[in-house]
Amino acid sequence: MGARVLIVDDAVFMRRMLADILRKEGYEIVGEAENGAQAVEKYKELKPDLVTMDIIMPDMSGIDAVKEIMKIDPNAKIIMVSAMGHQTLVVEAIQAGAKDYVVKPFQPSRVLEAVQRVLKL
Amino acid sequence: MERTREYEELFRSEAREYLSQLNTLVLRIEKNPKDRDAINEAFRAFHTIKGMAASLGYTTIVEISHELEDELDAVRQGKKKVTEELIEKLFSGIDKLEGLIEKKEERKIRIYLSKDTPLPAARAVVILNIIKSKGELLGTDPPEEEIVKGNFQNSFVVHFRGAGIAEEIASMEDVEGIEEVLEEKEEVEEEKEETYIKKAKDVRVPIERLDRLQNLVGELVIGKEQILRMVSRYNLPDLAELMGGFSRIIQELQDEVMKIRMVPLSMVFSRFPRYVRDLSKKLGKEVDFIMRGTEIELDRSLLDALSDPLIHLLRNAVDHGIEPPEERIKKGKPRKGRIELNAVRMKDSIMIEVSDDGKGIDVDKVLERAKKMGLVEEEAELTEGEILKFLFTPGFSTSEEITDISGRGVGMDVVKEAMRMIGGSVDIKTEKGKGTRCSLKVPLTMAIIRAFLIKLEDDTFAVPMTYIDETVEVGKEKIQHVHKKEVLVLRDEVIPVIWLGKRLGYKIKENQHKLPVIISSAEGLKYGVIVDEFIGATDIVVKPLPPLLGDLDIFAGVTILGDGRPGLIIDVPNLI
Repeated sequence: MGARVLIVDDAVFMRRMLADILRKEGYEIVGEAENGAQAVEKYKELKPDLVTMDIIMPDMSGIDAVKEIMKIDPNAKIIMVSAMGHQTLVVEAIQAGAKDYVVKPFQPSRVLEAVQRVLKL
Repeated sequence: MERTREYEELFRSEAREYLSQLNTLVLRIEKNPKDRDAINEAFRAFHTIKGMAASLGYTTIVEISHELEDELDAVRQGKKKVTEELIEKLFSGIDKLEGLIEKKEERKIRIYLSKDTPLPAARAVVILNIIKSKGELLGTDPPEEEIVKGNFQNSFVVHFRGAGIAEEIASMEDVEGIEEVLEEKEEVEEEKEETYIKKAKDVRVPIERLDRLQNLVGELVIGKEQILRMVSRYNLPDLAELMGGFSRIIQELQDEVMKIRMVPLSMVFSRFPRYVRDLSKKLGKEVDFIMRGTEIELDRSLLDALSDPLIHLLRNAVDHGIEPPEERIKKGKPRKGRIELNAVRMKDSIMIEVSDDGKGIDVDKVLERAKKMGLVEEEAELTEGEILKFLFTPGFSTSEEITDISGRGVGMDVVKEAMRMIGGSVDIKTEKGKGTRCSLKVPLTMAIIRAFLIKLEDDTFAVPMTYIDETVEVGKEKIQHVHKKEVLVLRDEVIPVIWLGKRLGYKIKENQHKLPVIISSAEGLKYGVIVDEFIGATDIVVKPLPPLLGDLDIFAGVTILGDGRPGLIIDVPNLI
């Protein structure tokens, strides 16, 4: 019954952590991507219910990936994952269509709150 | 997101209907606590509202309707009795729901972010995006560009339209709380009154556009009359035949335009039972309120103009007409008073009557007061109708004293003025100890009216049909002098008469044996208006009078006649 999630982050560690938090609550991790370009490809292929998206990644940044994905699916639900201090970038991503954000280092409760809220939209 | 907006619109219009039903149902339950049908229906209505609100995430609406649904369920199962508190709770709940659905649609709130919010600007943008996607963002403080840059001190104000949004924002993680931003002006008492007068909302075309359309049709009607006149003057049978079809089309067009503007009286009247109930409760009166004919349709702008006068009349009936229960019992009347609001469709007008079985108006006291105010000479002898007319004098009513002793009079001048504005009239009849009846005669539509054309010497004038009871031709000898006043004896009735020609400075024809008289009644008084000649009835297009010097309130406007000449429209109630 859990929603299908695509996790995008260049660090394996972060992907693992996010996946663990989400799996525990019954979400299904349908795929992972380590850069923006891959994220867009996987989005097309997997049509996930939700995407978590790192901002700073090689190849294509998270913001560009958000813009691409929004073009493919205007109803895409994307949550930005960002480090403290990247406020301008996060604002840009949200203006581009991302629905919410969490800040690293994150508490599981914050991640889940954001995921639940965005899935309800 | 478009879809959500659509659902919200649907929810609002449906919920509005259910709430209006609920007002009626709870009144029924109050009247008869054993009315199982009403209880069941009310239960279902709350249940439906709850269901709809839940699927849109309007938690407050869900909570309130759920609670009321539970109360009614307990009553259904015999676990609870219908008490006065329960009725009050239901009504105040309905009001709250209405507020949430209607008014709270537009809100201004200050949002406080908790101090340790990571990236506050990003959080603010998420919030703004929610508003934009679920409703309409009307403004922010500081301006949006500043909020985006993070230039705010852990709180900012958003002004938006859309239900349920505030609740959603309040439940977000980084949001510490929200606070309603109040507008400066707040008139509590008046606001309350306003909520009873809900103006019709469902016309999707701007009313100004309909006005323009109607004006154009009006011009067409004038043009048609002019051509018809030409046709008969130069005897053009071919054109006459052509014009026959043409006239029919114009008539149809006129009817259609009129119909578009029509809405049922119930659109405004459905608020009245609740108003009467609340007011009588407040004043310690017991009243049965009955409405009839609310399905009748009327021009929307006229209907809007009617709410205030009717609220006045209903307030008078409850406040000054109906006696307190003990007093009624002492008088041998039923404990509960009765107020009726009846609407009847006449040929070219609608008659709306507010009647009560209260104490009536003390005509002697009214006369006494009028004498005191110098409105009439000490020794004058007046008919009841003439005396009641004083009630419509501006300022007459404002006196505390007269309000108490006469039992009537509050704001009657306001009622008269409102009716005059729309070309209607008001009439009042009373019987001491038995009750009072106020009748409003309202034209069906404003811009094009049925009128009766009359002549004075060579000039033509129009008298709106709403002012005419009948037209008669009488022999000159029927006009008699009584107490230095001229009267007409018609079927054993003595009717004061006015020579219109004299009033307007025309010569009176000495050799005329048969006098054409228009019999009119307004403000409780019947009188005859003598003219030189009757022409006949026709449709006229009312144009406002250009601003002129002097007191010309005996004219209600001007119209263009078939021969292209202007004709003044006589405002009959202001002749005397």
